[in-house]
Amino acid sequence: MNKFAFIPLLVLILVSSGCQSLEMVPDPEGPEHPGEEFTRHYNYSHFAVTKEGNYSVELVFKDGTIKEGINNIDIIIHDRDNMDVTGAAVSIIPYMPIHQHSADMTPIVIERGGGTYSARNVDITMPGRWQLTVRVSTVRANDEAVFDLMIEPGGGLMETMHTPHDMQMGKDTGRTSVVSARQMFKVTYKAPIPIPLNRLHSWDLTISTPRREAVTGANIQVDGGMPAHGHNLSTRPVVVETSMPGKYRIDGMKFTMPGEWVVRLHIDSGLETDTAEFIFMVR
Amino acid sequence: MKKFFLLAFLLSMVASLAMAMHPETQHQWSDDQRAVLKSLWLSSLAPMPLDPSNKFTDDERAIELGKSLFMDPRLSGNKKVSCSTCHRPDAFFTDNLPLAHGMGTTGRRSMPLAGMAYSPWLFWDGRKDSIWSQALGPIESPVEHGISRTMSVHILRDHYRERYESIFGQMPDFPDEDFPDIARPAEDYPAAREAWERIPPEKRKLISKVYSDMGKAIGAYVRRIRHGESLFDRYVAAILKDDIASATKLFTPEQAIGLALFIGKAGCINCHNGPLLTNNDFHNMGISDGDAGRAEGMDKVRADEFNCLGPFSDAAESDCGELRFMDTNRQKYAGAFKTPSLRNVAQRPPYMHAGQFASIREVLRHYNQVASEGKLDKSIIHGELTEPEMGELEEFLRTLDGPVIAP
Repeated sequence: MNKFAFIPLLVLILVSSGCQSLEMVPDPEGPEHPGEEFTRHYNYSHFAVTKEGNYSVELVFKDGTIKEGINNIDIIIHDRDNMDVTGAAVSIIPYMPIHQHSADMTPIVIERGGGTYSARNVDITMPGRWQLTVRVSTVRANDEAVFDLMIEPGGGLMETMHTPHDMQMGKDTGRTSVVSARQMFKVTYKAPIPIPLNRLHSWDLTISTPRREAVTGANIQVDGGMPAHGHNLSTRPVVVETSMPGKYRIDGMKFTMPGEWVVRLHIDSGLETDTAEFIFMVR
Repeated sequence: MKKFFLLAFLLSMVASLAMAMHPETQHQWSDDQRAVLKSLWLSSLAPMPLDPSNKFTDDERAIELGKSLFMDPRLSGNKKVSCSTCHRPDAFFTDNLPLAHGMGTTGRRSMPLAGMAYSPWLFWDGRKDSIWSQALGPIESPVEHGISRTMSVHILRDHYRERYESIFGQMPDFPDEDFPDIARPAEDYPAAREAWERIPPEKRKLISKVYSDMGKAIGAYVRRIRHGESLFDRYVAAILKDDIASATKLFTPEQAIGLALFIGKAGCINCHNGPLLTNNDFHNMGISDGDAGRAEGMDKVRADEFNCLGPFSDAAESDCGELRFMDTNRQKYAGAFKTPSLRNVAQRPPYMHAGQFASIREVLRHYNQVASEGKLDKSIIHGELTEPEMGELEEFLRTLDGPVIAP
């Protein structure tokens, strides 16, 4: 059963036996700016070294600044040797110390290559003092840098199309937010944790505009299925609006197989139509 | 690079040898696998769901009456067929025939009854949405019990009146001359239908009400038929306690490998998931032989007067989610049949909705065959299993044998 346990052993033997095929290939670009401990690429970026000195983290904001609203941030990470850090697990957590709350959207971090990562949907829900914690995990070290930022009012817009594959499930609340395909709506769903198998249940939905105005009276159709299997949903769920502005409920959700499911909401607010897509695992 | 392959080869040899010398390595499961094993464990089964459409499910008198009716051959045209003819209590509440045989031969195999309280849909095509309404179907089927609801009501009146009234209240009078035994809303028999239509509508409703009560008593009994612990459940209990010594005694290495295939490569848990090893959904296996399956069943359950939303149901509309949110994708459900539980599967050949396959091996070979044709939904593909793997999977499936417990 446990055949993978041999892999580290295999690697160890291969390395110690000097296997030619596993020799390190030097980076053709070489270390950037030798002589400096860590390189900073942009003078308008925010730059910090992680707490234990393992990495440098550089935040590059679109238009040079971070604003109230949804922000997209590039993160450049170097290691102690000032080499680009690739393949790291990177997360960014916005937190407002004075109110002791974090953002209600989970930012999504995607590796861009060359030590650059893109964080999408960094949701700054109000102006004021915020802390952005960037956690970097590699096989060598786990470390984090904290940025203290004063954020001005005045609305960042959702600028990047959200890729639902990148979505992360809110670990504690079961809430997950996405931006619809044409960025007309922000949609948050709250599902039971874990999402039940073979049991009919409901999800709560919150729908707003990019400027956080509740979307009321929308007509919402639901479809979806299992992309890997090529079949649709096991039920025909129905969305009903509640008495709270912008709050809806999807009734009739049921997933009869473990694996990756997609649920699409076709939203017609009367003013705009757009589609929001959720991708999630049922276990 | 040669060195790499040589080393990899040597290491894999060492690994195989280690496994052969230490069979307990077969019983090492990752955290993810343990979570899956736990999800299939009988002890993970949720409490029996309520049936809001039948308010008599917890009435012990209804359960007792239901048991008597279940076993009563008077409820048949030849006085020889009861529910227990095809759902034999001594054979896991099914028979071992390819096609069920009552008054005549049906087009499908008798379904096992254990754990049906957990199933939102009944029959292979899901044309019923509760056990009580399911129980009423065969009574009026000419090839099963072959009688009518009118005759059923007369049998209740003549043999069960007191017990009926203690549960459901006073039984209306149904004089034979006004309510001929032949009368039923039949589509297959014009004389029966004419007799039924000659009865005034309000009196027809009274008959159907008492008939539905009969179903509710049988449903209350059948709901209680459940699975007991299997060898597999004892194995999972040992694994979850990290009791590898016991696990090694309970499962052979082949059974453990079969289980790993079941939850892994073979993809069985796509549909055979949860503690009852079924998702109670409908899938086309490529053996419909012209039977429309669920594609017709979904129309029938919607039109059924005894469904959750119908006049004889005790449920509120909000309790009928399965029916209200039922998927009606005709193409998807053409030739699709309900996933059966795999508990006791080795004990009840032949297999599939019309008993097309005599052995589990034939079923597995069929899956390999349909996979290679690539016409069907990918969720039913069971991996390209080799013959030895099929053997291991079969060994595992035998560990799902366990008692069936009935009141």
